[in-house]
Amino acid sequence: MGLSTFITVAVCASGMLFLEYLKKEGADFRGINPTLLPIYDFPDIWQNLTYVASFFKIFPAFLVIITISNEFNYRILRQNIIDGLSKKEWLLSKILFIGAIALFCTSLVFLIGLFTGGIYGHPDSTPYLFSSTSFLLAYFFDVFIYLLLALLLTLIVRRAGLVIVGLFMYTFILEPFLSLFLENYPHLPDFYRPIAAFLPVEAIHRLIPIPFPRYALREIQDYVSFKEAAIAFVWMCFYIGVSYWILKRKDL
Amino acid sequence: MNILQTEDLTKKYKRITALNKLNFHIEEGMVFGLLGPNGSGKTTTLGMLLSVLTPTSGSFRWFGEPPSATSRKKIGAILEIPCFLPYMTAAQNLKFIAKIKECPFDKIDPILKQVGLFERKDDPFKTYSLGMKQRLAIGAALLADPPVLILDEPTNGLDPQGIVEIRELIKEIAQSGKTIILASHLLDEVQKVCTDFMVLRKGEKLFQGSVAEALREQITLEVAATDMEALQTVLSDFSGITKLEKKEDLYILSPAKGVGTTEVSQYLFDNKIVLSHLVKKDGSLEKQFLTLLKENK
Repeated sequence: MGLSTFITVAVCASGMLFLEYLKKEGADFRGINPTLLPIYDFPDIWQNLTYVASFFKIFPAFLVIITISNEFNYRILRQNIIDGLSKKEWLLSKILFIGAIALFCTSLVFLIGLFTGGIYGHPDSTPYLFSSTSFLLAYFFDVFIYLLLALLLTLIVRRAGLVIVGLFMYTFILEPFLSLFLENYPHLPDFYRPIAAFLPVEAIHRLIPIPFPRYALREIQDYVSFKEAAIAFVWMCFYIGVSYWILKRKDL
Repeated sequence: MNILQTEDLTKKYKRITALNKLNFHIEEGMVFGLLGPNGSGKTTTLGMLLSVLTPTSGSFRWFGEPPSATSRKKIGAILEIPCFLPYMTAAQNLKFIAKIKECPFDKIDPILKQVGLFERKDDPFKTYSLGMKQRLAIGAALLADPPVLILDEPTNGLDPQGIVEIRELIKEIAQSGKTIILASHLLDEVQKVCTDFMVLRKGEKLFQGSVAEALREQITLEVAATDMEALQTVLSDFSGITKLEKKEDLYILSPAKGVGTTEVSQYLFDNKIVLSHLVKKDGSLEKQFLTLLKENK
């Protein structure tokens, strides 16, 4: 288990560093020298980094899925309950575990931000180091709530392989498609449009609005919106509540 | 003091009723045998009592209170196969369990010695044989010195010496006043150790009662006389026996309630029959068990 943690973390970390590297060398953006793009400047860097990092939350999700399904398949949870652990205590300990993972990821992003911002960012931007760090908080909840979803799915479907494949397909294929469809399909009545904001993965993904259009000199939302935070919060309560309910009712 | 009380405990799986409205109670100090053929609902019952399975309907109370993790901490249990963390050692596993049960760590080494695992206590669990795993499970059940023990086939996988050790251990614990629930197929063992027992079949309770009483009712007498025909005539008229069977050159009698060896030999003597063979055979749980199963087909 230690080994798989290390691998997950290494992939997470290196993935992000790799992206920064790519961006640095840069693809061609219609004639503008990409290295001139101030993506590493404070405070913009926080939104840029967290937006990209958000795509890698699937890796900690794998860790959660494998750990939890192991506890079922090796009957460890069952024996713990027999010995006198309460289901509530167990769930709480798992939520704390997830919180710790999310905290770790957030700290990692923070450090990467500090370093790459320090190295590549324009010196004049340093005074703004700590503003817009609300995106780090948004990133924490993005990962935290996503992992809660992974926990819930593993509680329902106790097979790690199924949950991993299912979650992957849903997160990267089904829901993006569904959300684009709901928002853009011309023949759909207006009633259906806002539903996209309420979809489980979209809701937390939107905590960090997409920052890159600003470099094409377009308006973007550069703050965390309250409405999106509220929707995410409701999903979080839902995941925790249903997880507890499932744990109580299902056989071990 | 009622240790355990169930009320119409039921468990259904789609079309199969694993347990149907089970009602029974266990009092403090009983050594309670839970018997039944495979698939009768023994493990299902224990699973529900330990909050591992959710009842479809019905309820139960431990120590007079609704089920909770707190009451489970007072129960030491082995259910089906021993489940421990495979990469941790026996000592580490027991430490972990002690934390859950909120009991001190100083019992760990004595318990390991008691179940014969002290030499292997620092080896990972996955290197253990089945017998060793079973011993560790028994050790874990005893760890917090709980007032109630639930043992589901505790001698499973043990060598003959191990079986005797466990039997002695159970007897010792029973003598100290603890309550023990023992689910087993080894009727011989149950007979030697239990004070009360219950028989399940296909989710229904067939019988609950005391072992001593059941054995008393199962007493049979073997008789033979020089004049076998005269013996048979006299016996057929005797109201003091409920069953008469001929087996090779003997007659097997099942005496009625309150009729003992003295009464039978007295009656025969009064009728001018002198016995050449009179043996009293104690009842056995195995016979009772098989009779019950046959009666309730």
